[in-house]
Amino acid sequence: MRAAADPGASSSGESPGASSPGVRTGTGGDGGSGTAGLVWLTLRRHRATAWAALGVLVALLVTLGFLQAAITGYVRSHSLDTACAEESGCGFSNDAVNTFRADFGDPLHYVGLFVELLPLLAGLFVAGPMIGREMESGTYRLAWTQSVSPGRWLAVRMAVPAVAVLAGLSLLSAAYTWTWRAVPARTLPEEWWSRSYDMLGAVPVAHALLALAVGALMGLALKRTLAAMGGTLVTYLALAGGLESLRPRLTGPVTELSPEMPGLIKGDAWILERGLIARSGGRVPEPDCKVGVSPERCAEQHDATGWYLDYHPSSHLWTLQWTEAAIALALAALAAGAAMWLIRRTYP
Amino acid sequence: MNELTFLPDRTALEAVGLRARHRRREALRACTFRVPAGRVCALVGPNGAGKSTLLALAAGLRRSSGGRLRVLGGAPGDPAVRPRVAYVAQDKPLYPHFTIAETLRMGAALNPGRWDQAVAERLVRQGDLSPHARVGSLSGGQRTCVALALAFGKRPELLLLDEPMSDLDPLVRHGMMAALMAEAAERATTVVIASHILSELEGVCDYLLLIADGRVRLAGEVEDLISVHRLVVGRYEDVGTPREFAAHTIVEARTTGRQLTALIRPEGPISGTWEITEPSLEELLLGHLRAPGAPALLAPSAEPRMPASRWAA
Repeated sequence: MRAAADPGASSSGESPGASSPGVRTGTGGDGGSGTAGLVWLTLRRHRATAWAALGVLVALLVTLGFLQAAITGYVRSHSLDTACAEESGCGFSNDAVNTFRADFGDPLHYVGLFVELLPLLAGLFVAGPMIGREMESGTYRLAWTQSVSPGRWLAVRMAVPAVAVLAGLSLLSAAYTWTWRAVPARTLPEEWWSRSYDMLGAVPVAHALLALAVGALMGLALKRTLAAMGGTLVTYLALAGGLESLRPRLTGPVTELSPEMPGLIKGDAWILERGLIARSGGRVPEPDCKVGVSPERCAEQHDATGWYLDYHPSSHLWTLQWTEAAIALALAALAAGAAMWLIRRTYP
Repeated sequence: MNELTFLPDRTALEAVGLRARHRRREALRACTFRVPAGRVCALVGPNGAGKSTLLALAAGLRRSSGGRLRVLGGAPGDPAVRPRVAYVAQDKPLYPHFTIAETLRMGAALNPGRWDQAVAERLVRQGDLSPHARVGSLSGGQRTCVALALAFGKRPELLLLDEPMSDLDPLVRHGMMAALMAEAAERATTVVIASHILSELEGVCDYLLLIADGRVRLAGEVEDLISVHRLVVGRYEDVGTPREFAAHTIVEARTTGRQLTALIRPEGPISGTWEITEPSLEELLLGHLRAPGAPALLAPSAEPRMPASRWAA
């Protein structure tokens, strides 16, 4: 997340006694508006967090690099990629597969879980320490009564973490996706694309920007560290839940029709719904037949002609990803716009 | 260096019918006054009178709920005005993990093209502070010193101070006030000091703004305001106020035993056998603070001069 590089203060010397009158800062083409100074202030204020985030990012990237190399090596030396490509899949009896699951399942799972959590952490940080605490302790007045307008102050408070998230999380998500791709799909059903969805590609980055904008809005509206963090938690989880429930409908699923009842496992496809097609042409999703009733009897009971199965094949992954990312970004823009509107309306 | 302050007709602060709400309470109701540029103005009033609200409005930290306020000829918080106004809040907000040097560096970073490091460092040195000390480890007085250095470093044309000396011991307060006034005089900075320590204002301020209950009670040059008031002391045993005073405006009258003390604005010679003196600034302020119902008085220089067309807003 906040993977910004040098927060400035450490390199630029702490020797006030020696500095001459009229230190020139922030003259780098920002037209005297103090934007460069605000960026410096934001990074200096959260220097510890910025360094910690950078450390965590590097550690995760290194871990993912090693994991990718190890996975690739193991898959090649044990021919897992060919063994698992067969329709029967990798059986549990296969020792090589079991060792693979034991060795790589957990590390991949936990790194992925962390990537999935980062957006929320970024949002909470902006809501609490970055904005809520300033409003609560009154230190926001420090910047505003120097030569910085509230609107610019908020814009920089949102832009600095946004850039850090964009850079850091993009890198992390790309590295995770790269490592995840090295895993033959059938070896780790837990890591199928539909289950790793929140950790892959553009979605974690877009979710982080959404959480961040929601955090800024909450910090500004609630003006208290804890309240802002609580508000962000609830609002972001609600929005993320909304996006998740929307996810199956982001692109049209593939529908398969069959006279026999289809199974609910179909390679690594994401099965959405199974049901009967009635003689009238209508659908009967997940028909309710009593226990012990055979599929054929069940179809007869509902006067159905056959079965259907809706699913997203793994080829839908990137369409779904980019569509969801676009929606999340639009929501983020909305929240950021609301925050800007709020600060411009409340303060001169 | 600052042309504005040398022109006596220029205005630092000007309000017409200014209103502000603070937590659903009217903190300011229809405030009308003017503070000319180059003055050191005392902003006096009881607690909750609206002093802090007025200063926060002028500093561009909050919005008014009605009326007009102009700061250095512009709207408060306007990009052209904000860099020229400095404000020290009552609680002196500073980042506790920053060192003093970093705090000044922040001042330089946020005031590109305006910041005067030498002035800021001089004030820090006057407070006998190490630039490497963390702000969080400073005493109240030392924090005030850093906050003032930050305010002066941006070379303001208008300096707004909200109870700047309230947490200082008398000795430090005296030294700080002297340093403050020396810096202000050197640049002809307009200073508005909110305070209820009346004694610290005497001899420092040449302009006065008295606010009570969200309204302006007195505004004008200290000398002028004093010269139109008289403190009348004499023996008086009847009830009510003496008939001789009827021609004058009585700000406040008190009887202790057989002695009557009254603060009045004479409209001509005062008849009767009274001991008549000019009030001190403190007596003038106390008299008005005790009598919130007395009619307001604005000296001619304290009348707003905004274009008439804008008054309606």
